[in-house]
Amino acid sequence: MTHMDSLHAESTGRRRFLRQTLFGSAALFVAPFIPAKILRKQTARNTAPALLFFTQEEYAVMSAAAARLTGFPAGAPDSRDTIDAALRADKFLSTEDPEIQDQIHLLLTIFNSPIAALFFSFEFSRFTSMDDKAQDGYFEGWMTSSLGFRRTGFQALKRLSMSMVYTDQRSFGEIGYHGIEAPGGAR
Amino acid sequence: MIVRGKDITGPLRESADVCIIGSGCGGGASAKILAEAGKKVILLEEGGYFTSRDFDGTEGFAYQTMYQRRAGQSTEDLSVTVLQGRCVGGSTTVNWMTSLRTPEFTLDDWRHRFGIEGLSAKDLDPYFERVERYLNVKAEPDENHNPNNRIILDGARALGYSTKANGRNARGCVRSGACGLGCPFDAKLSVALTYVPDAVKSGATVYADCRAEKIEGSGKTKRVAGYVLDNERRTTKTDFVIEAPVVIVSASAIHSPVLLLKSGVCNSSRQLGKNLTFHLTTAVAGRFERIIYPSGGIPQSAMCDEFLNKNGDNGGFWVEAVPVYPALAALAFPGFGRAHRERMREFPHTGASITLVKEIDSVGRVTVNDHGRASISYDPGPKDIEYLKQGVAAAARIHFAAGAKEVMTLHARPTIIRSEGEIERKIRAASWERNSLALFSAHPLGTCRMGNDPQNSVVDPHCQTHDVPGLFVIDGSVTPTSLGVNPQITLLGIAEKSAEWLAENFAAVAR
Ligand SMILES: Cc1cc2nc3c(=O)[nH]c(=O)nc-3n(C[C@H](O)[C@H](O)[C@H](O)COP(=O)(O)OP(=O)(O)OC[C@H]3O[C@@H](n4cnc5c(N)ncnc54)[C@H](O)[C@@H]3O)c2cc1C
Ligand code: SF4
Repeated sequence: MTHMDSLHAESTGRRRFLRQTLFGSAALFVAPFIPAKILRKQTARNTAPALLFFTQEEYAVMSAAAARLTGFPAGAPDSRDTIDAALRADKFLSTEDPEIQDQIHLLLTIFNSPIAALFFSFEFSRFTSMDDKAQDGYFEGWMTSSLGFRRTGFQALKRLSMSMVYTDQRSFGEIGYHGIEAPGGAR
Repeated sequence: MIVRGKDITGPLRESADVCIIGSGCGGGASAKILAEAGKKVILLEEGGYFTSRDFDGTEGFAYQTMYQRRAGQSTEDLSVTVLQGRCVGGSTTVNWMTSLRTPEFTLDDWRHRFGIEGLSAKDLDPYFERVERYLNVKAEPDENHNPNNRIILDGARALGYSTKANGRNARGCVRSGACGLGCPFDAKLSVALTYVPDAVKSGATVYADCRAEKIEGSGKTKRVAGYVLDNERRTTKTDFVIEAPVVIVSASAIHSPVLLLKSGVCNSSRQLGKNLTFHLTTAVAGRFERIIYPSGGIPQSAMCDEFLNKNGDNGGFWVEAVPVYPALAALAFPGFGRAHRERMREFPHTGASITLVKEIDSVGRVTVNDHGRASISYDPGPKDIEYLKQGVAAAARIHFAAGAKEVMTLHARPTIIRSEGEIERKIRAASWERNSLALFSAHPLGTCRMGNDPQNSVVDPHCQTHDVPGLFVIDGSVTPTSLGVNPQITLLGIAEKSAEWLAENFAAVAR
């Protein structure tokens, strides 16, 4: 075996990897209970942007989640005063490592699954079909859950959403951030 | 010469006296000392090579290009975010420049518990002095502290806590506040601006965008194999093999054990990847009536050292200021939705301090996942959690003493403290479970720990691995315990000392 062959010889079995993570093992537990029809169901959207990573359904879930988490409404990608966090996340995730990509696909599937909502919150509803109050309650449940993997899932969605909005310069004005100033930026 | 990945067009085959993997504190300092001693040095760095012309002062650019995992590196369960640099200069390119020597009690502990001779304060002081002179380490004069650091100085002083200005490695600092995003003014004397160019002046070659994947062989023919990366497209371009009798692994406390584990070497002690310490960190954010603007001015220039080793148990905590940029704030601030957005609107009136725990009973470990990447786990111990609570309480008291109207912790479920009298009750009532509180580390250490006994340590006191002569680990991995202070001066001092020993004993080592 050459040096390079041996570098390639690492197992990349997806299920094995997922079993090794808290989130992954929970996902593997819940996923078989979710009918394939539900996993594939498309959520209606007026304008479908060209996506690099998300499916249209995942994009809809991410849009709804990011809007609730950040308090910034999901907007059309070309709008000047809204930040499409889901579209930015799509571009960001398209170059992520496959292991992270796998976990995000699974997280969004479970997060939006009515079966999972029934397991966790005794409510048979897709996240994207809930009203604002119910969505907030659903997030609250994930954020403070006694199950470690749900808190992890919440953190993943929050980090993705917040970093997509607050690295976008259009968010700076509202929070009074002027960027890096010099010389003598001390006020 | 510094060669970027884009300039490497075909498979790279090279030989040298010393091949160094990673260009941060450990790698940069070793490269300079060995190149100046006349050795042919090749320095490999998986991240890119950036200069002040590239630094645009935005989190978007900095996190995407100069941080490990685009600033998203964390424990498997996402409970602790682990910030590290990934570029020429390593973490020093993006660090906050606090420059402190290793506490004497920590070095004493290493001698007593791990039999380490030659690293007492007396042994290291000449190296620290040399490093401080080279990097122009000086404390800031009083008028240079920004309002965020003033919170610590004024608040701690009002409470009678010990507080002082810390040294910083700068020359010509214009107080822009961008240290964590790469200094656009070439004022930060990072490893990329000091050790690396001096190594190059003495003939070292730096290959940026080159990730080592495996170390093979022994004796005079050790081989470092890996890939040349296109970091922009996040793909591999071609491969490289460097042959050298001496190999120094300086890929940091997270990535050095990964490389050694993948190479199947240096683990006869079964300690490789274990003993990870974080200098476990969380923060409090105070709301002030006056403008603080926590991203402006020198980010870290003062600290409160009242509570470190106060009980003589080698533990305790420390309070420092923290630069707050928008995305960092948004990730850390509690809760979500409209309330979170409202909190973000108070950004200019927000002051923030971190509390960092010198761990004594937490258990951290780095292993390799199925993709050949670092898998980090960390279980905070009860004593360290207790110190974390005390640290949050002390930081909150400091904020109130400096005039805060309210103080919030970084608990996921918002914990807002409205007066000093509420501190203890609210902190005790909050949840300290994983992912209930935002936790960070910018100081991971300890995964290839140093010691005299090959049965329970990975490297000897010269940083040479017990198992493979001529294979060294010189970086943050080697510390046997948490330090209690920000690590760069410790790591540079140990690196200079170890590299100097290697240069003097080269013929014997490179057999
Ligand atoms: C945001 C931030 C703020 C900080 N603030 C301070 C501070 O104020 N004061 C202080 O003392 N310390 C601070 N630190 C910590 C300090 O910078 C680090 O402890 C120190 O730089 C660690 O040195 P090192 O040599 O172990 O690793 P690093 O400096 O992290 O260097 C390791 C290098 O190895 C490279 N590498 C990894 N794997 C490979 C591979 N397989 N092949 C090739 N290259 C590889 C990495 O890309 C990296 O560039 C801060 C760190 C961060 C991230
Ligand atoms: S504060 Fe000083 S050292 Fe830091 S980025 Fe600005 S000029 Fe550079």
